[in-house]
Amino acid sequence: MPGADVAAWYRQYHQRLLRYLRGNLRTESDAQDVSQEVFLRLLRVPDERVIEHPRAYLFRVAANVVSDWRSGQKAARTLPLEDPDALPAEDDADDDFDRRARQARIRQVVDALPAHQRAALLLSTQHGLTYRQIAATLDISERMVKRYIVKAFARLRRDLAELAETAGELPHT
Amino acid sequence: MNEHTQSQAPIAEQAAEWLIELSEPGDGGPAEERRRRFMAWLKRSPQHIEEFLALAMLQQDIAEQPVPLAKIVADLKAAGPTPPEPLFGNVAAGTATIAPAAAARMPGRGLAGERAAIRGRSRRWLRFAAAAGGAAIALALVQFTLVEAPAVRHATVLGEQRSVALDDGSIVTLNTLSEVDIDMGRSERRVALVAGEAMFDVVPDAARPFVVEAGNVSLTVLGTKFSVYRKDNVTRLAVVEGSVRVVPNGSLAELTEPVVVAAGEGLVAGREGITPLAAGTGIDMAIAWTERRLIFNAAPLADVVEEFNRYNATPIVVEDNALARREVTTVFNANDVDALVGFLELEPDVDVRHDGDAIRIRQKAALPEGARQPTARE
Repeated sequence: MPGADVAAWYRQYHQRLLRYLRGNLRTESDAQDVSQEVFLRLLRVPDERVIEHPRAYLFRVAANVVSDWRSGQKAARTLPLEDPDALPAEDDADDDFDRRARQARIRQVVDALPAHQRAALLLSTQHGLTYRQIAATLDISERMVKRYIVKAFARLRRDLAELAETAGELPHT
Repeated sequence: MNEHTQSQAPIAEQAAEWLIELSEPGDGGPAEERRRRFMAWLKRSPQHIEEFLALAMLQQDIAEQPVPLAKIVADLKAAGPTPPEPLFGNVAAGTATIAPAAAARMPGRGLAGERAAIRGRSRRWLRFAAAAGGAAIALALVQFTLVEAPAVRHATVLGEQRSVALDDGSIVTLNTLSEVDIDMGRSERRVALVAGEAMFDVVPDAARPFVVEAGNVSLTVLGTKFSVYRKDNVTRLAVVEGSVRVVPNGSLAELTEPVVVAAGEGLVAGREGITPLAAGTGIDMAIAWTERRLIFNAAPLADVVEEFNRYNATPIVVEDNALARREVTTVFNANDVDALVGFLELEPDVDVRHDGDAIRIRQKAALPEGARQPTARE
């Protein structure tokens, strides 16, 4: 898939995919169903097909699954408010609300990271420094930088899950 | 990453290791081989897929909430040394390379900046605006009018410049290390310049005045283009098009009456009152930042260095007063700290020293080491 197509695809689908991952699927088991389905589809694809951009490819498959899943759900449950295409403005507002709530949670857990893990993560993710540059800045080995980032991500995922559990998932109007 | 470590680490860590490995070209064997291993890992379990997607999203979310470099560094210093190695020891070479690299990538220009550009929501809008014009503004209109929050904050990190499209089609462009709160009310459009510098390109709307709060002055406009810079207790205004009504705030209100500044004019509002900005070059200099140029006309080196330090991660420190007062007339690219350093290195009597977190310059002194004046300047 040429780079321009990836970018176009990304703009088109990533919001929808974000919604899926941000817990907009009705239940945890729905989310598991979706990832199961991505898994099954991936199993049917020969590895050679997943060539240039494995990550982008994965996202596309996931987006397709979510899309199929949504239309299936529409037919089965007839919940008009669940249809994003029928009410685009409403959906955008919800999306924006969710995004803010999620961003606030992320800020909270990022702030709680140990300083060195946070520095390695942010210099890489936000400031575009290479691992080598981060290693030089922090005066540690490149391997250690990666270790910090891996630990930081794992901890963020754990803390975010705990946060969501404590707060309870917000009902989605 | 090998099979052994994969099977030991929790899934989140494995996914993070893949995220890192895929982001780095040339590491971990030939690309084809790496992709095969990645696919094999993904296909091992649906949880792997779910975790990887979730982490990729998390990464993007983090990228969308930039933390200024200065804060990261301050937090690090507050946290003390990294066990077991010191944090800011002998890192001259490393730190010297981070400034241009970070600055060059942050503006998100060109193909190399493509990934960085995709990360930022606002920057994405800007990109859309360039591509789709009015359609993007319409999209922004939908999103912004739906936001009930009273004010939306936008901030830039060191070296970054960013444009924000407002719901009325007006554009606010932020310079490096700047921060605005945007509050688009029904009867009034209000932007607080919390810190730094911004250019406002305002669409006229008589029913909805546009007010910029900038420290000691409030600026009211109907439709115009102007740049505002807040530094300490001084606010500088340069008007490019239209006109701006300037109303002093606080103690300045007792000293000065409101004034109207026309296109091609500017002013500096300080503690002692309001003084006009020199027409022509003064205005050009005040808006040169929008082209990432730094213009200096017989400016003391201390001022030149201070301007550079607004954009670059490795600060330049002028260590003696005589050199700080030396006048410089030149134009630089704001990103190109090397140009200034190179310029200084060509001066026969200037000593340029790179150390851990700064580039230190001083006059080559004949004085013995111990007798030098301790005159480090900001």
